[in-house]
Amino acid sequence: MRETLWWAIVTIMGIVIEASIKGIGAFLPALILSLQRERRIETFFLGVLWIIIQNGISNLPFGIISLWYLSVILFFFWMKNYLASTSIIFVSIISLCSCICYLISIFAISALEEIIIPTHIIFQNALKQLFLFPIIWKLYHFLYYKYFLKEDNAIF
Amino acid sequence: MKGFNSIIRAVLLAFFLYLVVFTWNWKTGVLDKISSQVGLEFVGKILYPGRWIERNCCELWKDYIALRHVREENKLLESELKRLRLEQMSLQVKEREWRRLIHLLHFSPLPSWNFLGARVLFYGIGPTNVLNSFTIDRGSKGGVKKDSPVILPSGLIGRVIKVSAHYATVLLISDSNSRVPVIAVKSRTRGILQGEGSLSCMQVLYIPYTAPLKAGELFVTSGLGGIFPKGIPVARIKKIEENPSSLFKKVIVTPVVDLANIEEVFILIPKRTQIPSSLSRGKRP
Repeated sequence: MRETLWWAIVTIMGIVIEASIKGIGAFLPALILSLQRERRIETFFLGVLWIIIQNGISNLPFGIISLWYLSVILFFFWMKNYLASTSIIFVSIISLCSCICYLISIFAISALEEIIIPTHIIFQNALKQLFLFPIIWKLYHFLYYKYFLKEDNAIF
Repeated sequence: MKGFNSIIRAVLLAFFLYLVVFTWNWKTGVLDKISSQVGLEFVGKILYPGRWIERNCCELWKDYIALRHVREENKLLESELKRLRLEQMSLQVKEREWRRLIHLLHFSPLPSWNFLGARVLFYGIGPTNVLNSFTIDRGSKGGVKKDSPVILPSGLIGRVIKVSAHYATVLLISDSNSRVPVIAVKSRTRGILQGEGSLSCMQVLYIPYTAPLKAGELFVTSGLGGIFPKGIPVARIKKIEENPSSLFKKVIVTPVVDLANIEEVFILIPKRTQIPSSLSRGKRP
């Protein structure tokens, strides 16, 4: 119940952050937090829900968000072999990867669907993603460990 | 090495699954519909109360300011009302004449439209909202459909590209992916209006080199293409560039609507085909 409440709050927070800062994706840092907790079924359902929400409000074709999230998740599992997944260096590398994957997925799918996209806005969004990703992740991380995690459930 | 192989296998499997889902959705559009219904509804329901409070607070303040000028404005409106009543009388005579002529010529009646008012809920949210669009608080329950035209009293704004039960996303005419068939009011030259991403500048394509166009001329929707009804003002000519090596003129236009500051809009919903009794008697030869 506590967990469900936490993820519901994160979802609402994500929407509010996205509405406040134009062009930023606030669900991917939350997905990384979920991956760090190593509850794969929970992560799967959250991922599906957030992909659906993000696609619903997007004005680009279906497939960009899922390709972007999928690439970052695969990169997460690969990087986890080399670094502690909760370290800030790890999250910074993930944010760089997220920025690159965002650009690749958006350009690939737009070319496939023959949609004209404003390149300068895409690059602006990618830069925002690069710099704000670790901050948003840190915010979720702080709130979760400060207010929602019970001591007996501690993982790290 | 074993770990590396398993990562490669996972990557290949993930992308194979992705391609299967992507292709299936491309053919059926099922996931598009689900995400429109769920995503738009969910975000709309969360943001709507906040926008409602913000709007009401702003309106309260605006009402207070407006009260200070209400007497002068009332006088102006009264004179405007008198002028419009006279104009209406003359237009009613013309309309009767038009109906009579249509009846004599056995033309089928033009489709008629209902106007549905809507408020702008939010402009692009999220990292993949990069096109010129906004979301309104009316959806399929109010009769809004994909491709429904969206207008203001002063002119065309765009068309609906995504619909959920209570919300819809509108693509502006200024977006690079938008095309609107238009016709010049005086010279009757036809062209295709294409957005260029900028809210104040667009281009009309395929204008013949010999077309007698002048700066300031108005373009309205031509009614071709079957999405926009004929005669909605769209844009005025800002600049005409002529290139001797090209068959077409480069016509730069500005929209008649201020696309940067839209708060309320009208959505055009086609009425069920109702043939007026005066016209239904006239049969086509």
